Amino acid sequence: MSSTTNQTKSDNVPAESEDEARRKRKSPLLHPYLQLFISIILTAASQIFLKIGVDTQFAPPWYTVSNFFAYWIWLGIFAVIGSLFSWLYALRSVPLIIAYNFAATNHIMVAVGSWLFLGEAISSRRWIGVFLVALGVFFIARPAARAEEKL
Amino acid sequence: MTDHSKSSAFRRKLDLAGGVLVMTVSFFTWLSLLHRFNLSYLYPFEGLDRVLLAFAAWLILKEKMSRDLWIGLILICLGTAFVAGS
Repeated sequence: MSSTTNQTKSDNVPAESEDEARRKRKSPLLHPYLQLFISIILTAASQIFLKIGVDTQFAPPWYTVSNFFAYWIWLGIFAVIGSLFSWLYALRSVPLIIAYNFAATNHIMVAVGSWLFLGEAISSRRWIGVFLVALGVFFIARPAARAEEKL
Repeated sequence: MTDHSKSSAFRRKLDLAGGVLVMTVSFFTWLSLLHRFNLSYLYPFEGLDRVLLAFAAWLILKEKMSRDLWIGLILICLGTAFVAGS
């Protein structure tokens, strides 16, 4: 009996409209699509931070003491953690399939970033490869989203 | 789907610890690879993890491969081959 009343109660609660959701948000920074964008930027940035750290501050055996003070690498690790949090936040309201489609641009972001910030020379053949991989990840977004929804 | 409710709490903790260990190893492997190669050369290879995952799901979990999945996997392999030859 009590379960049925609970059922009707939850049915009576109107679905939150997009306007209401927007008013509830304390800061425009918490817009889910902005967070999704931040997540993708942070993922690409983390790779670039790690590359800078490895080139300038990292000594080969990983347990070398100075490695634990390599701030570029720490920056990379924090960027990964930050991107994970904003990704999870965005997924609360962005459909998985759309989020995965955006994430496919990651490969292009990293290539552009390593060209701009690391000064790497990227041949046309490598650009073609990067775009093919990104396109492949884009195609996989739909099956991947479906598999994740089952979990 | 695996029924996780049946596995013991200890087993779940063990799985979690295993996951963290594997991710730590992969992180340091990635750093040592970054030490040797350019980022723009190395990063496309990261896309191969999806290929491995899909084939593992196909072979071990007997999941069906959709047409889109096949197209995506082939594109990723092709793109990686282009990058490897660049």
